[in-house]
Amino acid sequence: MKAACWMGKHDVRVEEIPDPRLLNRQDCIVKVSSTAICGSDLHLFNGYVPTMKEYDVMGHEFMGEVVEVGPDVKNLRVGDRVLMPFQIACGGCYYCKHDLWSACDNSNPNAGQQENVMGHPGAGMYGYSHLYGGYDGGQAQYVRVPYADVNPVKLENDLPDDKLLFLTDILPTGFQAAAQADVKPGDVVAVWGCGPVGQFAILSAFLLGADKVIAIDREPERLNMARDVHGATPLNFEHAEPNVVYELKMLTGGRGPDVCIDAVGLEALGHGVGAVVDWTKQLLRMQSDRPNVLRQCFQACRKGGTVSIPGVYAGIIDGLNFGSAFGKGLTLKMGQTHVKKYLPTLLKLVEDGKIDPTFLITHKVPLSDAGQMYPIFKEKEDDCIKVVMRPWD
Amino acid sequence: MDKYDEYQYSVTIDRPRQELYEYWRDFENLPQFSPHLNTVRTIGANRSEWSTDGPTGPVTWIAEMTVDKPGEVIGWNTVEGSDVEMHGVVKFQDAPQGRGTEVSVYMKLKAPWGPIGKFVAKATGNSPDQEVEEMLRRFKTLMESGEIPVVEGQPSNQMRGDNMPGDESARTGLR
Repeated sequence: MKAACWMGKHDVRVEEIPDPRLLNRQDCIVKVSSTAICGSDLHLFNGYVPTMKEYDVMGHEFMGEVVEVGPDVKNLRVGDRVLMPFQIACGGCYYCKHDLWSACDNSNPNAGQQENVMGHPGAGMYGYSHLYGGYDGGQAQYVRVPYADVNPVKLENDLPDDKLLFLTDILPTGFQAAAQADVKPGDVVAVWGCGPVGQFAILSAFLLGADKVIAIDREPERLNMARDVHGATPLNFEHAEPNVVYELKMLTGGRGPDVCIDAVGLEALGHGVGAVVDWTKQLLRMQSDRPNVLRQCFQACRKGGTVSIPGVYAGIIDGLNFGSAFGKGLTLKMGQTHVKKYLPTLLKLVEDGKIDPTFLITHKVPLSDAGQMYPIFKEKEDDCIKVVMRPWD
Repeated sequence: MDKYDEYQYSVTIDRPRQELYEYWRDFENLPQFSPHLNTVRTIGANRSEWSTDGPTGPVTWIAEMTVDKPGEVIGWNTVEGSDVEMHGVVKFQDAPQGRGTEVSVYMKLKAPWGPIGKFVAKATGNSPDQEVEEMLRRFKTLMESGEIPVVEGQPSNQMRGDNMPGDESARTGLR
């Protein structure tokens, strides 16, 4: 089959590799109809996530059709059309039973390695390094799916893939960002990063009743999308005078936003001495993550407010203004998305026509173009915001 | 004389105490979740023969069950003359708030061939502390989810040549 393989830093190639087969009795095989490149795939592409190996199949946003089921699978049949949450859950542990799917105790075969790094292991994920289990990903023609009775979400509608695909990750991720921050009617919310997760965080904040959402980025097409599609207030951080924190205060009568959402994560761009120091330390491997956005969130958020972090962090941060978070009594919420917790609600909203996620798609290409789409997405060339790929075109 | 090395690890398993005890009590089940244990064969009421791959070939020993309190604790020692000297105890206790069972393993071990054996074992990724952790982790996964997740045999593993063809599918009976 064809698959987009990680062959090294800045090197993703579509290769001909063997078809996957069932490895466990609860597995199924999914024939992929649509798959997308996620912003978090760029952390792998850019070499910031350790434990990638040559030929690892990329991708964790995908959907398709069940073509084979293992002997212990009871809830799925060949021919079922399914959405695939990006994380793998076992369904039997304390965390799965309490809707904390991304904290699944059992789905990561490299749990020991991850426990050493993080203290406790998290769920396995498709195509997201060996630390997260070493599972082959969804940017391929076929994917082997473990715990098939638990993970695939069976579809009963005939909506096109483009309306449904983002329910596998970025729509629930944007929604969790707002929901876990307990956004209430009348709140002012600031969202750093107007990429796909940021766009859905903005949409979700309004859905939960936010009075005003301030969208922070520097790319005009992303700021325009935030304003035109959702009605957000755009703030270009490159033009902020004297800085983003001051502008946010001016936009909120001095209070600061009730909720600050960091939809950027470990590769944040920034201005000033702090950003240069961060970048140098990251280059020299003195820290793995650049916390520029997080610093601004702490500084800008109103006293007693909430900072919500859907952006991915992977390691160690230096020079974080933690005293500001303490001094203002902020609440911090973060983590990988518990996709299955939010998916049914969001699916219903899509089926009822209340959310149409297709506004996000700027590029539709065959999977064979994956190698050239990664750099285009990374550099935001051609106004690229979201790439959807068809493996059989 | 060499000193014993001691290892301890604990996990919470969301299953009833008695069920976990019964699965472990049948020592022939141990290879299902012990990464490097090849076979365990019952050879008497309280005795079983265990075998694994050592640095220079198969290592076998005979274990005798010394403690057996149903639903609570199982203990075993290797008998004299074995390649390995081991004292093991596994305890099962109710976790708070109905969260299942806290399972704790304590092991005292004298590795074969003393420090050299230990060094080789570490270098080949078989260090006993990892072994004890991995054994408990897999026990939990098997009991909670009905199987142990694997990636060996995936397309990418085949391309890199780092899979062991047949191993996993033989275990799961799929091919």
